[in-house]
Amino acid sequence: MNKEEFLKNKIGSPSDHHKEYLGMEIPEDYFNNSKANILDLVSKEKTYRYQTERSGEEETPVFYLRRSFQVAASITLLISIAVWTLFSNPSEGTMPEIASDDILIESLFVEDIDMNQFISDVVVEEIMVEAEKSEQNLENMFINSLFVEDSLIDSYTKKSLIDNVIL
Amino acid sequence: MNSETKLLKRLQSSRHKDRAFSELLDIYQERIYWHIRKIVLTHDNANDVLQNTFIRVYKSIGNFEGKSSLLTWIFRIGYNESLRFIEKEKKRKHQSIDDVSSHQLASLKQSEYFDGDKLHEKLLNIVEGMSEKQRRVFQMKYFDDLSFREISEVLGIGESTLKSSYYSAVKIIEEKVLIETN
Repeated sequence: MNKEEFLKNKIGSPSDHHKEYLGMEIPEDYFNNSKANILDLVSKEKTYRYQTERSGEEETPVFYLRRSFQVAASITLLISIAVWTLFSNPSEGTMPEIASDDILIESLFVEDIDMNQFISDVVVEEIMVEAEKSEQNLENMFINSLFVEDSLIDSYTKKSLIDNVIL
Repeated sequence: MNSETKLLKRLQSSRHKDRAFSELLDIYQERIYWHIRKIVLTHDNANDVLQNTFIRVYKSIGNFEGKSSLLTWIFRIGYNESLRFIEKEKKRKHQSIDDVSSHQLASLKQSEYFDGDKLHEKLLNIVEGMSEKQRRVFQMKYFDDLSFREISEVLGIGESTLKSSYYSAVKIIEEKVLIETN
C-alpha cells in the first residue's frame, strides 16, 4: 500500500478491497451460506405468521406511555379511587343505618318487609340493654347506700330512685 | 422503468416477493455486510446484524414508499441495526461506546478473520480514533463507495457538512499513515 494507490484506487470487489486495506476476512463461500440462512429465517418467519393468523392469535400490541403520561395516569387513578371510596355506600343491601336514637322515628324509615328484622335487631336489643342498665343501677344504688350516713339516707334514696325511674 | 423500480415492484407484490428478495440478496448482501462489518468489526457480530437487517427489510418492504433509493434505504436499516447492536452490547457489558469499540477492535485483531499487518492495525486504530461523524463518512465514501448524496440520505446529514468531515478525515489518514510509511 502506498500513497499513490491508497485513497485513489479501488481494488476489485468490496471483499477484496476490505481485505487489502483493512485486513478483514470472511469465511469461504460466506455470502452463499449467509443468503441460504437468511432465506431460511424468512421462511420460518412466514410460517409463524401464517400459523398465528390461522389460529386467530393476534399479536397483542404493547403501548409504552411517555413518562409524563405515566404520572398523569397514576394521579387520575388515585383520584378515581378516592372519589369512588368517598361516594360508595358500603351498607347497600342491608338494613338502613339511622342516626337517630329514637326508635319510633327510626321505625318510620324502615320498609314494611324489613319491619320484623328491625324489631328483632333494634327494638328487642334496645329493650334488653335498657333492662340490663336499670338492673345495674339498682344494684349500684344498694351498694352506695351502705356508705351513706343515716341522716342523709332519705334524700339519697329519694334522689337515686327518682333518677332511676326517670332513666 | 429502471431495474431498481422493477425489483421494488416485484418485492411489493405478494406473488413475486420471495423470488425478488432472493435477487435483492444477490445484489446488496455483500455491500451491506461490509458496511456493517466496519461498524461492529468482528465477523460473528456482522453476521448476526446482517441477518437482522435483511429480515427487517423483508418485513418492511411493503411500507417502503420509494422516497429514497432502495440501496440507501437498506444501508440505513443496516446502519441502524448496527447502532442498535452496539447499544445492546454497551448495556450488556455496562460499558461506554468507546469501551465497546476498543473491545471490538481487540476482538477483531485476535479473530481468525483478520489478516492484517502492522499498517492495517494502525489504519484501523486511526479510523476508530476519529469522531463518529468523520469515521462513518470516511468509511461510507471510501470503502462503501457511496456518493455524498447517498451518504446524506443514510445519515440524514447535509452534503456540505459531510464533505468537510470527509476531507478532514482523509487529511488525518494521509498525515498519520501514508507520510510515515513513505
